[in-house]
Amino acid sequence: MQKKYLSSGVTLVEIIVSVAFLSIILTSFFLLFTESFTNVFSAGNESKALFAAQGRLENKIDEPAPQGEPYTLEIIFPRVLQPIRVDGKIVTINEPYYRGNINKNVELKVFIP
Amino acid sequence: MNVVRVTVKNNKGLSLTELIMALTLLSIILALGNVFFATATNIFALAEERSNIQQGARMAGDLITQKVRYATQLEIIDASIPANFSNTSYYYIYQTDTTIQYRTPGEHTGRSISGGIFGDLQFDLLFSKGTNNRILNFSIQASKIDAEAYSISSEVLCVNLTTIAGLNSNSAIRFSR
Repeated sequence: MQKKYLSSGVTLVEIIVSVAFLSIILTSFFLLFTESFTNVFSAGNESKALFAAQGRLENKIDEPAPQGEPYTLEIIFPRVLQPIRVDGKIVTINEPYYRGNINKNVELKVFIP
Repeated sequence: MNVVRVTVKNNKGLSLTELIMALTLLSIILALGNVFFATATNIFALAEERSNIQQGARMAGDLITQKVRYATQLEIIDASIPANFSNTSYYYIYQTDTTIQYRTPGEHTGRSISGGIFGDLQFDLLFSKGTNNRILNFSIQASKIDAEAYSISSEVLCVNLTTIAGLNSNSAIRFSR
C-alpha cells in the first residue's frame, strides 16, 4: 500500500527558517530602541557637560587676563571701506562626557576683546 | 481498489500531533513577540522619563542663566523664611517642595520653571557664591522615585554686579534687573 501526501503544507524546516528571519527583524527593531535609550542618556550627559563648561567659561571671562589664542575680529559693514578690527583672544573650554563607553567632548569658544 | 482507498483517505484533516506542533510553534512566536513588545514599551517609558527629567533641569538652568545675567542687585536668601518673600519689588527664583519657581515683581505667587506638567518629579535647587564676588553658582537636581537622579551645575557671571549679597548658599535668590 502506497501513501501519497499532498505537499501543500508548511514543513518544520520552513517554519524554523521563517522564525529565524523574524528574530533577525525583531532584533534590529530592538536595537533601535536600545540605541534611542543610549541616545537619551548621552544627551543628558552632554547637556550636563555643557552647563559645566559654561560655568568654567564664565569664570574665564571674569578673569582679568584670560589665556587664549590671539585673534583679530574683523567686522565689515556694507559701503564702509575700512573694516573694523578688534584685537582679542579666543578662549576655548573643553569638557568631556561619555556616550555609552565612548569618550566625547563639548567645546565652547568665545572671543574676548 | 488500492487507488480508491487512497483518494478516500486523502489525509486532509489534521492529526493531533500536527495540531499540537502548530500550537507550540504559535505560542513560541507569540511569547517572543510579547517579550519584545513588553521590553520595547518599557524602554520607551524609561527613555521618556529620563528625557522629562533632563528637560526640566535644563529649562530651569537656562532660565536662571538668562534672568540672573543682567541683575543689578542679587541676594541669596533663606527659602524657609516666608518673610524673605514679602517684598514684591524683587524677582525671585526659589525652590518649593517639588518645583523651582520664578516670581516677577508685583506678583505674590511664582510659577514653575521646572516643567509643571511632570508632576511626579522632584527638583532640588541650590545657589551658592562662586569663587569670584559676582559669580553665582547653581546646581539643579531632578529626581523621581525609583529612578536615577539627574543633576546639572553651572555658574553665571552677573555682569552688572559687584558683589552678590546674602547667605553663602541656599535654595532661593531675589534680584532686581
